[in-house]
Amino acid sequence: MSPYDDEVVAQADAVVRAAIDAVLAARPREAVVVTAPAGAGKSYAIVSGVAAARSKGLRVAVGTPTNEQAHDLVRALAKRLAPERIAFLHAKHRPFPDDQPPKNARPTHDAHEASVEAIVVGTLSKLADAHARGDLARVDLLFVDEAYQANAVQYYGVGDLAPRHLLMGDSGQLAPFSAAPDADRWRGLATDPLLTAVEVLRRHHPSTREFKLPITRRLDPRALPVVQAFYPGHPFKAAVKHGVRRMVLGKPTAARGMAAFDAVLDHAAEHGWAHAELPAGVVLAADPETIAAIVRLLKRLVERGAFVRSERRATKATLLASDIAVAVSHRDQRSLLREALDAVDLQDVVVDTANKLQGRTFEVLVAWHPLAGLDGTDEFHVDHGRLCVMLTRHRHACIVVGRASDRELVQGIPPASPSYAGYDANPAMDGWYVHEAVFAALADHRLPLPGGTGAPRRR
Amino acid sequence: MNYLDVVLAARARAAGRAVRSASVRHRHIAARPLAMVFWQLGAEPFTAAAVAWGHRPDRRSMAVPGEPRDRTLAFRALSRVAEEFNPWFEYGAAGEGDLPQVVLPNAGNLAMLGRLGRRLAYLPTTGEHAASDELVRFGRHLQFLHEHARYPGQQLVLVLTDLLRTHWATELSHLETQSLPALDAAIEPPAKKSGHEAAFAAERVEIGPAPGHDDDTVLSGLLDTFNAVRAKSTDESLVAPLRGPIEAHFSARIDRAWPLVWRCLDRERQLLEGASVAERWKTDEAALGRHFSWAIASGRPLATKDSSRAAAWKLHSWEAAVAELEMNEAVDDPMRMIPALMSGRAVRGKVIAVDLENRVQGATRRIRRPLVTLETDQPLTLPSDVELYWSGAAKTAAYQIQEVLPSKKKGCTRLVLEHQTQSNVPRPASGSMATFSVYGRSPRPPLMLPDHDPWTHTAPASSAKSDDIETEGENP
Repeated sequence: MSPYDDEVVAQADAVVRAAIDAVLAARPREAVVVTAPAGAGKSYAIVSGVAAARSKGLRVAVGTPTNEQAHDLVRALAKRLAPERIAFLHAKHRPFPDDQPPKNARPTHDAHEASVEAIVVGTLSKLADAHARGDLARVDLLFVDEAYQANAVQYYGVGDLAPRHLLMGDSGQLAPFSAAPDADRWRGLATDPLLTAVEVLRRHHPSTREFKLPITRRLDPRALPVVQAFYPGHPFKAAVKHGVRRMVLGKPTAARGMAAFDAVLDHAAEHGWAHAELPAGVVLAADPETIAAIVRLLKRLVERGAFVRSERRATKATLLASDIAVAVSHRDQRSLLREALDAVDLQDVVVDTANKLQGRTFEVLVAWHPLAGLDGTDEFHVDHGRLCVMLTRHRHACIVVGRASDRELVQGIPPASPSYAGYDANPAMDGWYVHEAVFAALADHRLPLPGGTGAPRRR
Repeated sequence: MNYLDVVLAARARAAGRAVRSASVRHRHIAARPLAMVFWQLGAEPFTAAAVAWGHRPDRRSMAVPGEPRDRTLAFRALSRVAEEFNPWFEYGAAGEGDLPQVVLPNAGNLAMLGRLGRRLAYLPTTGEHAASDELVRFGRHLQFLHEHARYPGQQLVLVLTDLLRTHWATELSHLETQSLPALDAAIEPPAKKSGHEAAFAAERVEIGPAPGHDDDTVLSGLLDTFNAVRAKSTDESLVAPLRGPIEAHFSARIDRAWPLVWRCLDRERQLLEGASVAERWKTDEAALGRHFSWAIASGRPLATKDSSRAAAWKLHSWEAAVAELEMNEAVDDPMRMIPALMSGRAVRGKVIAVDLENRVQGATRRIRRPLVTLETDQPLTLPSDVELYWSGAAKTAAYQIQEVLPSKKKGCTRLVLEHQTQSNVPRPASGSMATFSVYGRSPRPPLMLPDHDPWTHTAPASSAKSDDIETEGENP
């Protein structure tokens, strides 16, 4: 019996095909947008699109916001389109990270060299820079991956690189953000540099066709009741059937003070979710108690050991430390947690901020709740894109760690937030309600963690 | 709030008065700045009910229109300001070998600058309702100053509440620090009073530009009398004598702010100026030069709306300026380095060895790569591939972590840092304390944009509509 929900997979494939057909048939100065939930197989769809364009003899450019995303796309394109050559245009000081790039990949920082190839991949900034200098030749079709992360400025630079665009992106991810003061001064205007690439098209080309992928390939069906809150008006299903993926933990050995941690792990393994709550309280962002709790949780998980079974292979596999990640909001949380995990030999566990983890997949994810221990909400912490990234990285289980008082931050009446002429959206209010909905969806998975014990002590 | 701010606020609470949050001054204070204080009517923020200006604590000029809602009277008063402001702003300050710097008591006055500028800058200079060139140019200068004041780290406009908040930590909330009297009281409370009590009392002192309820009630009566007697006349010989009571009203209110402004400014002047401040003063000079060549040489007003391209440039330059300012302040001021030390973006320790002759294999030959060994008792949370800069010479090449070694000293680690240059540039001396941080030469690439809006950022030809205010030119 197939481990996949064949109907959903067929629907998703049909949407991808329709979107590719639409952009191939588009008139000059037309674009197509494909919106996907987390882990929908966007990269795969882009590669399919590039293949279809190449079979028609078109020259193609592929751009993404970050270097890491570009690297992944080069690997994927080189693998599926071999022996066709893929040029990777990079900045002089950011070469392709692999010692041995795929045989048919051509990493170069010389745009003239890249222009020779029929497929050019690069970050949007690099493509834009080379294009503005007149070094990078125009192509027939531009693909933009992670288009909801790309801001209007990045998109501005590559606009005239091709007469037809296909934009692919995850609407739940972190929106473009700026540390500049007054960065909201253009909000509501079509010229706002912080619009996403998708919003730029909607503002200037309202007739742009949009497609929605109805599938998530990464997430398990158990994840959906929580994750759906991030995608209002966008129904989707998991590609994998219920019960296909399983995580079996090793038997707990008797250890003092570990009962609460074992309960969290057992619950997460069984239900795919656990919302572990430390005692209520307002704490500093890089709270030592939370760090201690996450370290103990992960140490216990690795000690007990786990097997994971999935649709990928029939036999069970051992859960490795490198299959586990911790998602945080702040760099200092990352630094201190990294230090604490290294100290207990958990070097292989990945720790990073949500924006760095965008696009990555792990078997188990620990999410340090963005609102954990705060005394109030602000635009940064209430941005549900951050929570969405944290809660959509896992294939088996996600353990949310916070404090029992966090949910109170989004109860009652939302705080006043500025409004802007010509801008109906209200991200602060949306974030508030999404947070509230996620807390509600996680209500059945709440488990207490003891505070106070084991906080790392400094000299 | 970073952790340092939290700690300092707690210290201010314990000390009963504000504590310094900077060990050097992070803004330039010109030798002879111009202080300006505005008042408006409660319900009419787009015109000035009184303007005071001057270069000295003991001398100020004042212009009061009487009835600021009357265009003729309002413009007559503002023209008086313009006649003194313009020559000073355009070449007077330069004649004294400095840039013109405007000092304002609070953010409300800055907003006033912006509103007046917006109102005056686009006035017609010909036709039935012509305004004087002088007034329009004044408006453009105000508009420029208001816009430039948003540029992170700029120093042409000093808003005192912002300046004091940059240099002091208090237990006041963000809202409370908008009141200059309260902030000043928290910093220097009178004898036998805590900063908290003093600020609580001083908060009730209104210094404008928007009047408090009591002030407004008094003024309302004076205006009624003034308007009844002048019977819509704007004849200067008639209205001048009638203005007396209104001028006295504002004069008393301006005197609440005037000495305070200079006292606060002088207190900050005592602090030694940060090393990077002069460099940013040059950036201000360049911005001012661009404004003059646009507003005076070309004679054209600023576009009222940014194009996509202009907005992109502006955002990019602001983001760069934010990063530059953070870097400047951290490198200039050990106190501003503390947040970086606490969040794993800097390390401080004792230099125990400097090996200038270390060599590594380069592409073709062995090249010199000096090593600096640092002993630190800090927990190391730096990523291993981080590029660090020595704060003593942050503009030279980066250091890379070559090795992390245990130290014999308890709780310490040794970091071997490799300097990525063979040139003879300053390096920390053995035995000295040194800070290495991520703050240094910023490799931020310049923004390259195409000359024209791409098709994605313009509406298709058929549906293009032009309902925008006509804009002439773009920001440089």
